[in-house]
Amino acid sequence: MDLNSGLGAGFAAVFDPMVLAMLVVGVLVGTLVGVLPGIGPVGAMAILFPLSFSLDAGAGLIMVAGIYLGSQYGGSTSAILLGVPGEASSVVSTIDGYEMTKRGRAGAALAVAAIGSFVAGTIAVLLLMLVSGPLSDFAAQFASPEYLALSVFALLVLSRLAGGKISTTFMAVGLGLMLATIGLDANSGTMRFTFGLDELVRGVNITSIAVGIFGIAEILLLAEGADRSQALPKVPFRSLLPTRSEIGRSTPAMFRGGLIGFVMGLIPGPSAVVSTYASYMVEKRISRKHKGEFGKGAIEGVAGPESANNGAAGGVMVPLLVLGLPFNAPTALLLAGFTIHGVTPGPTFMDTEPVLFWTIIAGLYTANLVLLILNLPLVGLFTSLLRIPRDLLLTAVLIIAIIGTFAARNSIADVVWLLLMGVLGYFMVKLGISRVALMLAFVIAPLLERSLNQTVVLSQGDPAYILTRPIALTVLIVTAVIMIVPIVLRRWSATAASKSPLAEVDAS
Amino acid sequence: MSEAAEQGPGGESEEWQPADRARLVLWLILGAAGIVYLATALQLPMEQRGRPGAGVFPVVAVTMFLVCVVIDLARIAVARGRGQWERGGGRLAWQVLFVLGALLAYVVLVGVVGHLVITVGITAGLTIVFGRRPWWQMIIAALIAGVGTDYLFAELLGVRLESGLFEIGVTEWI
Repeated sequence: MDLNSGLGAGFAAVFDPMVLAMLVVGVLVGTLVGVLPGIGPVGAMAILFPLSFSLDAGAGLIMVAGIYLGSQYGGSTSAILLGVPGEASSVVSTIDGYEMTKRGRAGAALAVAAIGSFVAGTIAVLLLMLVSGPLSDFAAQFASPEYLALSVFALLVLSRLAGGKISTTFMAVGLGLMLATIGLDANSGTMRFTFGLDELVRGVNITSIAVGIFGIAEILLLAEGADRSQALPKVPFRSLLPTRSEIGRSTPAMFRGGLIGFVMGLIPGPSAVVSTYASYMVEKRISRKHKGEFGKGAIEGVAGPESANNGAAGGVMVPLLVLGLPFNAPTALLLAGFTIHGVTPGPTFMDTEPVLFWTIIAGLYTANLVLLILNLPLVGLFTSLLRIPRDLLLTAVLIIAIIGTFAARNSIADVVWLLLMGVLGYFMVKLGISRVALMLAFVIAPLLERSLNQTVVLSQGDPAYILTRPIALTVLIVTAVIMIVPIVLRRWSATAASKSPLAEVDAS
Repeated sequence: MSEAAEQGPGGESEEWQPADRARLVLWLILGAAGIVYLATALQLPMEQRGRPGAGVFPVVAVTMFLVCVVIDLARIAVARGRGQWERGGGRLAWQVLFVLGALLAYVVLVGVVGHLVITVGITAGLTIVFGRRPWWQMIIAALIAGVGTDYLFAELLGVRLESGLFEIGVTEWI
């Protein structure tokens, strides 16, 4: 299927009334949940993820992707209006967005955020379309050693980017891998770590892990937080129109942000968050006339980061769709969604499931369009959610999380895992341990184990075998460079600082 | 997500900020679980028909895990020795325990009383603990949560929810 016919088939599938309805529901529900501080995109996706199980693959996956994009947009609404980021990638938007609100330009900030998200989404979908084909052809050469190298790359690079101590991040990775081994081993048919319990034969479900460490942990954080209420600013519809100057200043920032986000999305780790910081720094650095406005309500400080996080949402789809490897938590959940619907993304995905592939691409684009059309007129409705009393909100989210987890496999054992993972997730947040690392490791584990076993067989006991494979060797070298360079640079700058005349003055 | 960002909007001073003591307890619990896992993994076959057996990958995973636990335990021990023990602040909020209790109650009781009844109970409990609303509002909220979710999931989405020993549920009534 060529690009035009593929895209045509994709849009035809998306405009099926049922699929379109699910996309709109996903975008709206994602925005509703994303507005609420504390429940980020992954929490929102995790809690609502089981609702997609009863749908067919296209509708279900588009709904989950819609929740992701919607919750990212919702997070920026509360960041701009209240200075309270609904999720991590909206933190940067609070800097100038909230300042704009204080100056009475909330409407313009929200409009620029929405338009920027749409522009970046469009750029990302275009780039995704262009690179997916050639990359899929390239990735078709991959065998188990390459997948082993890529899995190691994803986990090691994530450990550098996740923040916190490397030892605790690897502990989370180890825990994720261990959890994934519980149950029947698909490779050998051996029961592992079931301790004679029938409930463990089917293993731990991704829903329990995701909803537990993200959803339940967020509910616990919400429960312990003080009941804070804030006056919500009014945003009249006519104030949503940015001035000509604001449009002129924000348009290039949107394009830059979209590109930065897309490229960052190709790197494992918290790409949406990192891309917002990168975009903000770029905008601040290249601004000539308005540098002094940054931190005080510069429109570029909203347009760039808001575009960047949506660009990243498109970029992370490349490794997921082309390699079948999730590079962050939302795509890990999407991969779980693929698995539940019996679909395997990867190099052959475009050829074996062309309609589904193009439906997802068209769905991502349509979701951005729906966000732009619906979210600005409904901004009042979304922000009124912040007035929902905490007791009702907390109860509703808890019950949806429980039913959603139970519904995945009709198993009360999954709810027990939900409880355990909720406690673990809460402590992980409190102790600064990466939850994303655990989830990513859990999702990657089957691929990692399969490729490790096959590589051992292929190598016939020669540990240097993987180094004879050019692609795998390149990936391992890149991984080593990413791991080692920051350490060397840190040592180097520390040595340089100790030898500088200023250090001698300080010492004396 | 970066850890700072992952913390979300919860970092106020009155909230529990556990430090090295909590870390030590968690590492010891997880470390013990890791040792049990390792002991079990070592009983699995390491080679099956000329291929790596079912025990190889678990051993690799748990070794990485235990090495990291030991490294962080050593770091905590050194910090304590140097008087750099992180103390943290605040204490675990009882509200957190209440939510976990509600979740535990669901797990334990749903098979006995069914989803509808336990959801009504949990909602009533949580609205009493976290809200300040009149009793009749709590009853309405609890009934809406119980009957509403039972109807929505069981009837509309086709999810088979537990009706308990007494078969209490919207599906049974219709």
